[in-house]
Amino acid sequence: MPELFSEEWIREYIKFLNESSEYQEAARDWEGDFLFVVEPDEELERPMYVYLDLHHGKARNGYVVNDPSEVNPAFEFRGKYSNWKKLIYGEIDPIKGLVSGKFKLKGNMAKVMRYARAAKILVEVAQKIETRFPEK
Amino acid sequence: MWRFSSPQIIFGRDSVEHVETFRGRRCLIVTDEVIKDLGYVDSISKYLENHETVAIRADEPCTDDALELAEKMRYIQPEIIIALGGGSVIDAAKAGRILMEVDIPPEEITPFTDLEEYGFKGKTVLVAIPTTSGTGSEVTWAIVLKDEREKRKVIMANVKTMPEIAIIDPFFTYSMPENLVIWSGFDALTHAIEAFLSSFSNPFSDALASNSASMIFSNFIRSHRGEKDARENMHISATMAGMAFSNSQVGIVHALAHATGASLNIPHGLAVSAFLYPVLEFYSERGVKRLNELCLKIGHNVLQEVERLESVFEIRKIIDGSEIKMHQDEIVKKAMEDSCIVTAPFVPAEDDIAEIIERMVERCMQEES
Ligand SMILES: [Fe+2]
Repeated sequence: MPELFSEEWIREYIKFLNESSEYQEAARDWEGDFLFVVEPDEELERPMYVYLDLHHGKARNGYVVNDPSEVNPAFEFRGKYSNWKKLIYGEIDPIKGLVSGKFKLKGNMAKVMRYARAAKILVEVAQKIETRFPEK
Repeated sequence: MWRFSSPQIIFGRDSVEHVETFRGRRCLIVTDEVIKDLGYVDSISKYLENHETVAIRADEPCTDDALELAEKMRYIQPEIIIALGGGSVIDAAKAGRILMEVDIPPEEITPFTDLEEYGFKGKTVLVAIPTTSGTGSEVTWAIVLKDEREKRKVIMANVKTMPEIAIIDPFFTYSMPENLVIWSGFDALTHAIEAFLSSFSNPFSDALASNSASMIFSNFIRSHRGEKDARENMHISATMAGMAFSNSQVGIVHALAHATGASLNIPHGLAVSAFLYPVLEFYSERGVKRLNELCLKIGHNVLQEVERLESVFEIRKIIDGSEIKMHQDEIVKKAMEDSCIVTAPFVPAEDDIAEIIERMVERCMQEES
C-alpha cells in the first residue's frame, strides 16, 4: 500500500486519473499545474509537497518536491495534514473545505470555478487509492 | 463543518420605515431607471437627509456596470448603501461595494477569495430592499452578472458580499407586472426545491427550503391574481428560499438557466421555469431520494405541482424550443462550466445535460403543434 504523496502513490494517482473518462471530459480544456502542500500538524512532522501538471484532461507529470521554491506552479492547494486525511477519506468535501478555510487555494480562482466538476473528480480519484498514512 | 449566514431581516408591511434609522448618515441609494421612474426612490429618500441616488441601466447589468458603480461609490464614499430593486440591482450593488474597496477583476470574487487579504475592510453597510419576489439576492452571498464579451454569466460568490440588512416590504410587489410575478415566482420556487435537493443541504437550509416551497405552492396562483396577502407571502417565501440556497446552493436548473440566459438573452426567471420540470423529472427517474423526502415533508407531489404551475402560466408556449435546440452544444458547455453543477444531487455528465435540454425542447415543441 503506497504511502500518501510518495512517488509510488503519485504514480498510481496519475494512472487512475488518466484512466478516468469522466475527468477527461470535465477537464478537456484545462491547462495549469498544481503544487499540493500538506502542512504539518500534531500527526505530521515535516511538510509534504507534490507537483502535478494537469493538461487537457490528463496528468502529464507529477513528482514529490522537496524544496517548493524549485517549482513555479499556476496553482497551489494547501491544508493541514489532518484535513488532507479527511479529504481522502471523503469526510470533507473539497469545495466546502475551501469555503470554510480548511484548505487554501492560490492562483486564478475564477478559472477554477469553471472546473468545479473536474476538481471534484480529482479528489474522488485520490479516494480510490488504498493509501497508507504516515504517522509521527 | 459548514456554516449558516444571513443578514438581519426586517419584514412586513411598512418595514421600509426602518431606513429612518439611517437618518443623518451618508447614504447612497442604488437602483435602476425603471424603479426610479416608478417613484419608489421617494418612498425611501423621504426618511433620509444626506443621500445620493445612482440609477444603473434596467436590463441585466454586466461586470463593467459593477466596476462603474464601484467607481461612483469610491467618489461618493457612502456609509450606507441601500440597494433598491430586483436581483440585478442588488447584485450590482453587492459587487460594487466590494470593488469600491478592492482592486481586483470582478470574476476574482469567488467563495475561496480572502478579500481581507486584498485589503477589504467592509467600510459600508449594505441594505437590500427587493422590489421583486424571486432572486433572493437580498440574503445571499452570490452575485450573477453578465460578461458581455464572453457572452456568459459570471457567478461570483463570497460571504463578504452578503448584505448586512434585508428589508422585505411587500409594498413594492403590489404593482409587479404579470410576467414578473410568474417568472420571479418560478425562480423562488426553484431556489427552494434546488436548495433542498442540493448536495450541500443541511437542517437549517432544509427548514427554510421546505417551508418556502410549501408556501409558494399555496400562494403562487393567488398572488398572480393580485391578492395582496398572497403576494406578501410570496415575497417572504422568496427571501426564505434565498436564505436556503445561499446556505446550501442550487443545482442543474440554475446551471442550465445561467447558460441559456447568457447565450440567448432569456430572462433568468423564464429560463428557470422552463427547465425546472425536465430537471425534476430527470432526477425522479434517476431515483433522487431527496425529491421524495421533500414531497413527504410538504405534503405535495412536487413534480405534479410544478407541472400544474407550468401549464397554468403557459410557460411552454413562451419558450422558443427551436432556438434553444440550435444553441444546444454551447448551452451544454456553459452549463458544465457553471459552479452550480457540482452541488446538484448528483454531478451530471455532458450527455445528461444534453438529454435534459432535448426533453425541454420537445415539451415546448409539443405545445406549439
Ligand atoms: Fe435563480
